[in-house]
Amino acid sequence: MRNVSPDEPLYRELDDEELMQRLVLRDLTAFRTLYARYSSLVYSAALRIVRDTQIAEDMVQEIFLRIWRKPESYTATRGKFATWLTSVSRNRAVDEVRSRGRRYRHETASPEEQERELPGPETDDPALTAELSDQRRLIVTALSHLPAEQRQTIELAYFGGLTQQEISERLDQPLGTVKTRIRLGMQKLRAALTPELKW
Amino acid sequence: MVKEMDCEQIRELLDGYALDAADSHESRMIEVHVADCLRCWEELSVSQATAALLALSVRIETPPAHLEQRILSQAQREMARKPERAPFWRRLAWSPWPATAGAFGAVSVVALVISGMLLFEVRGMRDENDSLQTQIQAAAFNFQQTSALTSNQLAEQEAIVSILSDGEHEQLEMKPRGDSVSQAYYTWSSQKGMGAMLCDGLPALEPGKVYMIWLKIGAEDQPMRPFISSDGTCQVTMDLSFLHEIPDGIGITIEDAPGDTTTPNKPWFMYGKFPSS
Repeated sequence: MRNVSPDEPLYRELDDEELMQRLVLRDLTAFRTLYARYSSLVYSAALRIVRDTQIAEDMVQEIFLRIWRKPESYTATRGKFATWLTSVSRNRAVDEVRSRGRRYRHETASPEEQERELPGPETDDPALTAELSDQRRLIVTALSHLPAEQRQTIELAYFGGLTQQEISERLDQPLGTVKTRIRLGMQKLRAALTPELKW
Repeated sequence: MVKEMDCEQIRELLDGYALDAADSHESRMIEVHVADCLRCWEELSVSQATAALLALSVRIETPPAHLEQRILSQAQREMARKPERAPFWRRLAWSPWPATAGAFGAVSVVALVISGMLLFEVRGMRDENDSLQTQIQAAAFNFQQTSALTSNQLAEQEAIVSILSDGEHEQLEMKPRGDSVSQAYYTWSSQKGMGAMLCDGLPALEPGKVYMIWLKIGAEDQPMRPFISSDGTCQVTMDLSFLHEIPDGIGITIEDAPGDTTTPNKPWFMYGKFPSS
């Protein structure tokens, strides 16, 4: 059981940008609050890609300590904090996979299966939990509406860290077909997720 | 040489690039193109934002409880060890600049006086101890070097103070290439004909390389100043008195030292487009 600072309830009222500003002042309670909000998301994004709990834990540690050491690496012009953070996590995890020369099979659950089996993200902040759950549901639904081959191609690129050429070889499909699937799939996602992109 | 592609061809490739799945040749073509094409840059931003949302679709797993304690303990240890400094431009905004510049001036004077005293001492002891003389001369030399460095810094900072003291000075945030965490702000005073580049988080360069600042004026790229950074920050001032109009943009590239090239090695490492152009 971790120690709870008497200030923590107050910190939960602060938004992400305000907490990040406090990190510049070396505020450990702000750091702890951000960890409580986003550690599950960072861990999950890393785990989805590296498929190894120990490596995923190391990445969570590395990413949060990097934020602690250099909070100014995030600015609001980079978009929503949650999106930026998960993006950083994804990129770091893909770098790890690529550096180890490992390629993971991404026989992941379909979006419909994911939707059934999953609770929403859990954080210390009920409003944030609700927002992330809604957002996640929207994204999973948008993915589930894609033709299976488009979704598979996009996921191999984004979560598998494969280039289009590598996907072409993996699926034994012409490179042009892979590019077309990515383009069409991303166009549909963009249309479906437009409200989320307004940041 | 990268063959130029038109907007339509580039847009066909943007989604693959946004997913980090384009090959290096395509990536380079896209980066060259978007550095000069605002519409494709915007298109790419939307595509990257869409890609970033995919990370939120993952199945949520809870990290083990011990991880929080491990991370917080490490953070606490680091906090006790060394306070992190705010980036240069935040300190710039908070600190009394004229006083800082004055302090640098005082340090210069003190350093010069001390180096002079040391040299005087060296002369007096010359016959007594050759070994000691060598050591003291080295110390005096170091003081003189420090003094010269401080004088250069003082000149740079006086120029920055001068720009900031213009109530109508303007500022432009530059965009980094890809996922770089580098940050740079270009601030300038039209009235005083001076500009300054302030940056943080710059990656260390390979030996023999320098950063180079360019102004994009119409179809031409005008080299401004090369610089290096030992700690990831920069504060580089520029004389803009030759300019008669606001340029289209300002960019930073990585070039071979000493940075006397007249053609930028694109793609831009960082680029900012002036709002009025």
